[in-house]
Amino acid sequence: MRARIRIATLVVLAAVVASGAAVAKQPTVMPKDLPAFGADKPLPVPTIVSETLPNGLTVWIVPRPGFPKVEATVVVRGGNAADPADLPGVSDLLASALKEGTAKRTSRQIAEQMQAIGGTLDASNGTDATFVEADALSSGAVPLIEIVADVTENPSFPKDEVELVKANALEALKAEASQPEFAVEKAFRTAVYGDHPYHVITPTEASIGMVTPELLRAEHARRFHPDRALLVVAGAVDPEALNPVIRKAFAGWKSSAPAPAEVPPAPPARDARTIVVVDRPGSVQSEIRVGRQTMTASDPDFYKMVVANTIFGGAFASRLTDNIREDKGYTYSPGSSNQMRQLGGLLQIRAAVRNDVTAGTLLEIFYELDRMGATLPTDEEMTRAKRYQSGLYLLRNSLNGAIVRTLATNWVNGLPPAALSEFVPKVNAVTASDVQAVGRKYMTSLSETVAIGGDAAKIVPAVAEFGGAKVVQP
Amino acid sequence: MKPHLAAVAVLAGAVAFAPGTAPAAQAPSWVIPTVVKKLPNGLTVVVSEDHTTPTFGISVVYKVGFRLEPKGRTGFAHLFEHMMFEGTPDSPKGVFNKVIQGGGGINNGSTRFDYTDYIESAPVSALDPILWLEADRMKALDISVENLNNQRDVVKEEIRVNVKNRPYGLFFWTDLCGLAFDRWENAHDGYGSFTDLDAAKIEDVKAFHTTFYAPNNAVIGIAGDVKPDEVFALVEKYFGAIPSQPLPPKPELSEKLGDKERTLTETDQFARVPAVAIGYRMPEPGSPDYIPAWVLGDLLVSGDASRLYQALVKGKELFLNLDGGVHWPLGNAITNGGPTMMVIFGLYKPVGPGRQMVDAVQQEIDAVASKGVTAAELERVKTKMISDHFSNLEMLINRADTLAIRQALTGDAASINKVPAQIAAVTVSDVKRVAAKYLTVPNRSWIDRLSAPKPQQGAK
Repeated sequence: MRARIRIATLVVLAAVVASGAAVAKQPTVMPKDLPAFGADKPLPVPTIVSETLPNGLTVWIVPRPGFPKVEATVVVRGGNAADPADLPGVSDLLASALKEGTAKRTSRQIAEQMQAIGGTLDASNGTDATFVEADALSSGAVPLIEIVADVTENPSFPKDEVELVKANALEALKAEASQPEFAVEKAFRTAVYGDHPYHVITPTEASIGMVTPELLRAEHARRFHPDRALLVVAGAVDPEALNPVIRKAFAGWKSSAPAPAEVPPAPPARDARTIVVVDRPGSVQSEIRVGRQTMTASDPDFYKMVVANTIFGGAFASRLTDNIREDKGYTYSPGSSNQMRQLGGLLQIRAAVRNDVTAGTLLEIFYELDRMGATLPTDEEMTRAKRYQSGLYLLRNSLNGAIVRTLATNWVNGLPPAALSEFVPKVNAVTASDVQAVGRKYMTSLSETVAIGGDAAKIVPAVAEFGGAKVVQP
Repeated sequence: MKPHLAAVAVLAGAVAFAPGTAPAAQAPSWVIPTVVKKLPNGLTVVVSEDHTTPTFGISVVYKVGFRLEPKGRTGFAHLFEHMMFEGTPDSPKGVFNKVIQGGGGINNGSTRFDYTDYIESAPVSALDPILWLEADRMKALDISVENLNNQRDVVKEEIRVNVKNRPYGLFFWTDLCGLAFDRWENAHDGYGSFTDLDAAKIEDVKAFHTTFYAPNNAVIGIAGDVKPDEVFALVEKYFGAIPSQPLPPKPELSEKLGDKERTLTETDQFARVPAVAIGYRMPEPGSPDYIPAWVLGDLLVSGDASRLYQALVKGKELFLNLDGGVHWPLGNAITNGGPTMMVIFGLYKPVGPGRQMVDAVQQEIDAVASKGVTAAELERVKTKMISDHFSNLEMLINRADTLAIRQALTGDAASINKVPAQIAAVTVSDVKRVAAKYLTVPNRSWIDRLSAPKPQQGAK
């Protein structure tokens, strides 16, 4: 079996290098009676009402009359990348504790007042930022803004609430660690980023243990500055009526401590294949991650990569799914994403496969990656990928929460509000040779980092032929 | 993935309150238009116009799910769902997904207790070809051994991802139903055993398609930037000639309320934090107690303000988290068409056995059954439920799906607009009554899911 895999490798790579487009599949023959697509309607461009408050808080409001709800998110720069080196993941606990009491409201009052306006409020934490995300019925827009402002500006981190957040974080870490994705995600991020703060995705038992109310207050003061924050609101609201409410609610917010130091630039992308295996004894599947650092959201390569990744594995009808699901039946839900972060993106290909096809799956992923740089995509693939992204833009822009999330994420990644409406024209300008060029630059299998979570005793021998794997502890 | 109004009445009805209090807001009214038409072959079409964005959502609902799959073929309804994406005599494997994607659309399918739905959302320029594709696979499938074997493998990987390789393994769905229900239709594992999946044959696929995937057993819901008459004309054109089929008689599905508590202890190879799942058998949909039970479920277990969260995640600090409700996790009260449970599921802290956690939950429930709740608490819960109901309909794909499901289950898609008033009509005494009647120890089934001892400890 291994021998057959080895032969297949050689044939595949030779074919890719030698005959270019010949390996591309024949275009799908469309049924003769299938009706054509109709004429496309013009893309609606959302109105974004922008304002900067005297304290530096940026406010973007997207009025969307109709659906009777409203979403509001405050995003603050920081996140896991700003965690002190000895306190990895501390911002996760900071986010968890935000809604557990303020100078004006207890934890329970926050929960009940949000429920009373048909709303939810949660704080979450990412690599580069912390998000306070809330929604409510549009009839509750005023209290929604007031509560979001209160939680953002005045969290009090009561001692008993912080103790409960810590106790629950320890249990949650144990629960998460038993999920098949957990260890492999950690190992993948560490293999890609080394010691750079971008490798942090969760707190540790040690960092949770060090948290105190005073420490959370200090971290909040360091990070939560109005001039390092954005408020985005979308929904059935009138900006003229809501703006005075926002100005009043956030007027008292001031910076009270020096901001965190800039995060150092990410280390250079690796140029040699690395394979790490995280042992999960008894696992009946291998969780595979393959990828590398890519570009920032403002890099001209970004839009080329949107199209390339769609063709490769970013959509259901893609080369990756066609190959390892529809042709081979190795996996249920494979996928690929180019995840944007402030200092650079991360290409991440994922698949969960039964143990005995681990090596076979890696081989196919490598084949499909190399094909991106070796050959031009077909016209049909290009058209389909662009139309898919254009359709996704429309679907995203028809939902309050998705608009808010896209605008907030764009802001974190250094993009202006106009990036929203520039997305489709820029995607449509990408050419087949652009896709091949980013394929060569970012999707060459020999430059990718691989992490596999699963039964190491079975995986390590199976992947030896790819150059050997290093076993790392979960 | 999506919805809308014409007047910005937003701040007009706004509430403002002092930090200490939480009076419930008046939910704005929001009505979804519905127009329904039935074709001569029995196919029912529901259209809901919304011209906010130039997109639409569609759901084709077939009235067959886990409950009606053949005995000895657990998991077959779901395996069949996969086969619906594998090509037809007129459009080979791959066409379906490529056309939808090339139309700028997304698609999926899912199998539930009472139905299987196929959903898409796309710019309206793709409406015509998407309807053609749905008609094409209602007509006939390209059922080959290769495709069946391929999708059997894919389904097994899905089960490995969600069940066999994952802590908890959805025990709060499959195992709890197995414990609580007496009829095979309600109790068996809808994902299926690998033995039964391996036994599935080409003939089973053909028979299932002929029997259940007939126009008279289907409802199409479409919501978005469309006109009902245009949609009806297209549906006539593409689906009108597909013949209806005689449907098999419906098996008896009803379950009695329990007269004796049922419990089970399981060990979990992967879990490191123990969990309990509790199920109480519920009244049938349509019963006067059904909507009150749904409200009670949300009052107990939905969100940070809920009774059980405040008492047991906060308060006694027994649970790490809690989730659940009526017909959780495979839908909610209004997408259920048969016997179901109110489920309460949580990971708990290693401070005591599962029974202690279940007793603590029951104590909170008994307090509701004996003392009731305050009017203010109930109002807040109902406002949140109406808000959640709207959110579930925001995306056009979900709106189309919910309308089609309601039409399939109740014969009345427009009943979706009655849901806010039905929630609002529930009283404090309703909640108290249903707590006392249904959330009882004899009507309770629960599973304690424990971490398996580590191998080295087990060897001693």
